[in-house]
Amino acid sequence: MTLNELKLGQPAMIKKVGGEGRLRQHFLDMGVIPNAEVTLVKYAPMGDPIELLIHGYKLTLRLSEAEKIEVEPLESKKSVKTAPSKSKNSKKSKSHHPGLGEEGRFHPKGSGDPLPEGTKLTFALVGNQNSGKTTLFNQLTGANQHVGNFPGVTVDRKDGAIKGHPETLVTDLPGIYSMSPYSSEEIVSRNFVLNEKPKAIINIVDATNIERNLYLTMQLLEMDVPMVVALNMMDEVTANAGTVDVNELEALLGVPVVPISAAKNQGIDELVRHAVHIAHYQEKPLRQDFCCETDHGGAVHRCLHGIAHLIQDHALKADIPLRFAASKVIENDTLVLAQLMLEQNEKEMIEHIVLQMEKERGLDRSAAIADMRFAFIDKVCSQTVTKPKQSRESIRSEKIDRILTGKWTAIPAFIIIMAAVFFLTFNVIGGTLQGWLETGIDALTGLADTALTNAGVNEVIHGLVIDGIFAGVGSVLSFLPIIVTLFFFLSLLEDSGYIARVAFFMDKLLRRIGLSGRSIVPLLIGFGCTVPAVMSTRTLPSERDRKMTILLTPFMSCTAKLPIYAFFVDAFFPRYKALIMIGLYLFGILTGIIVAFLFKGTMFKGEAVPFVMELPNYRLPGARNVAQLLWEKAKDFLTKAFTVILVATVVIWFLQSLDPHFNFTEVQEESILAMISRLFVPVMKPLGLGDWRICTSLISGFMAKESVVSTLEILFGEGVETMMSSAAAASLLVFSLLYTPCVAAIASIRRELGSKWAAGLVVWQCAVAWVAASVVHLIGVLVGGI
Amino acid sequence: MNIWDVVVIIAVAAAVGAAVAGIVKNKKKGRGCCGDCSSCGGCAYKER
Repeated sequence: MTLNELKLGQPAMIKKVGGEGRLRQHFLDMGVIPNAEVTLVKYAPMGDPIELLIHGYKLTLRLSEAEKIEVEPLESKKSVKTAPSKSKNSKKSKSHHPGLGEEGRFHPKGSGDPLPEGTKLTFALVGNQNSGKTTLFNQLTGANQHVGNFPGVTVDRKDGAIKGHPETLVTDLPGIYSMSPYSSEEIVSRNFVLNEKPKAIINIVDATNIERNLYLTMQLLEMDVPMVVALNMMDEVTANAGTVDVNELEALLGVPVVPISAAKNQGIDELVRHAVHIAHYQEKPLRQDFCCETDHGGAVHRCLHGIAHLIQDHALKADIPLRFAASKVIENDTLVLAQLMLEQNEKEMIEHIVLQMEKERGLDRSAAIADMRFAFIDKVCSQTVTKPKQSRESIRSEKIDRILTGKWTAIPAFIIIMAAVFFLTFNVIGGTLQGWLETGIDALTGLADTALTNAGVNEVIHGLVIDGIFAGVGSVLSFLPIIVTLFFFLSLLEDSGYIARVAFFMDKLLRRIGLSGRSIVPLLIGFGCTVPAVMSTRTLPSERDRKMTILLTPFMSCTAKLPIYAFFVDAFFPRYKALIMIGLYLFGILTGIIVAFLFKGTMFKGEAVPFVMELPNYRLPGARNVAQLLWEKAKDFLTKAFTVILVATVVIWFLQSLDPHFNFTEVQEESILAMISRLFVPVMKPLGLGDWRICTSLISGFMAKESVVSTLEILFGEGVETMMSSAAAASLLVFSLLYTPCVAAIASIRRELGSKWAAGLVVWQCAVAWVAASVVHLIGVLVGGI
Repeated sequence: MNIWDVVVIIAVAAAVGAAVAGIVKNKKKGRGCCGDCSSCGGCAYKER
């Protein structure tokens, strides 16, 4: 039977891992290997994807991916392979401390072969996703990088010197599960270690999930680079009555192992001492050979060593560590094979060796190598690790998940949580704070106004300061509390681990429109503001998904459009206020779905990337981390308000106040802005929006959506209801909903996708808005005569 | 034009000048703080 046919809670043993290429390799690297025990924990509320327990951690897979894995059910109480752990009855003899990476033990003090003084000690910080790399990076360097509880928060490398060691440079790399490149961030990490040749590697290992983490460790050891293992989250292990025999682990791996708790800043000094020492003295791993001479007649062992001898000269020439090159050649890693430049005869010889190994071992090449690694890990863990049956964090997560990802409760809980977030943001906390800030800004504007009047300042200059700068920058500044509050809640959701669950149960729905569950995060943020929504797409593993998600984000109505809706609904449709407001949001989502189908069938053909993701345990968000994020957001927003928006406000004020001959004019119809707006009148006429003032307000909306209403109020005065029909108002509402995002959003899209995509998006959004608005206008005129 | 006109003009010019300088400075550095510290790393990148 296949994995998707397994019953809930039933353990099974994996017999065969199907699929092909990188996805299959990724399965194997995640521990989905023949003979591993797996339990189906849960179906997502819509029946797909599924949550599995394997090697003591939770993994999500889609049914279509699970179909490729053959399993054999095991009786519940007779599972063959429990989590490797030391026997409770085993005699605890004190293990010898090998003293690796310590001066005076590994080599006599003052001896060794140190690097020349002044050499920059470069470190690569490498580890699995969500293993605490960025937390450790912050502790090591004193940096303030944001930490999340969502696999793949770090998508770019970050550098910093270790505190008190200016001669060092640590690079925090994106989390990876193996040295087989699966996603773009995994390629970043692998290339860094292979090409930039750091002086040493700090390998962070999550002690609560040590088996899977050591899989990467073994491949890093093959790189023949000095390395220290930082055994993170040891506090969680010991709190749950687990232990790790660090000395024994150090002896078996042949590299220094330092237990730490990055979050609690424990063991960091010792880690730094070891890391600096091994880098300075270039102390390489004592062990790289993990294959067993007796396992299945030593099939893998003989194959690996045979190929290693065969490619030795090529590996030397290509400057690739030999052992690493040999195992990658067996795995058929195309990138390594291309670099080795083997001759045809050699390729054929290798193929023969591999075929013989497959025959003797009874597993295909990739599975055999993965099995060899996991067999060694099992051996190491059985000698060194005493695992508690289940950690408190895991039990707590299971309890929470019964509701938050339960079959009947997940979607209602999600709706309630999101409704609460938006309600608290826009009404209670953010709304109230915004009201206070607006009062403060109004008071300040009033004071400035009075001061300028009393000082007898020229009216034109007075207008520039009060109607231009104070009104423009002030209106944008008033949104600061909303943005900070929204990010506060989104940060809580992400740091707690809930967003990963949302991606899990929304995957099936999103897959229908060609996206994966991970795209839900940017789309949700898009209801707040398009700018951070676009930036958050960086966590998506595929370029296709990223582009598609960015192009769909503007269809999620951002909060800045709310004043426009409120203004027109109050003026034209007061009886259907709530209905039309909700309708507009739904219309945006519906248009997004239609466009997604269009994209899926044209520009973005194919399927979304496989949904192979680890579900982290729920954790309490750190106050420092959240506060730091809020400060960054507030600082960024304020910087923007006093740079880009200040300049834009002044420019618009001048365009509004000057006529084409650069004389100040009181008559707005004669202004340069009106002249520009009239160019758009013929285009907007079919929508019932053939008034230059409407065109002006829509153009000002390009700078900031909030300014559409203020511009209309200035240009129309009080009587907008008498100046346009209800059909035109409906058309304007739809056009405002769908037309080009503001300049800040376009700038962020440009940063992510480049100028061509950004320009294309402006034209595309305007075209979609024009078509939709003209249809609405036509229906309004024909059906209702409104 | 009184003295306060001159003072306000200078103040506005200084504010706009500082804003433009801020924009140019960010542009020159290549990657200013985009505010998305969760996934950017731009600031750390600059320090290298």
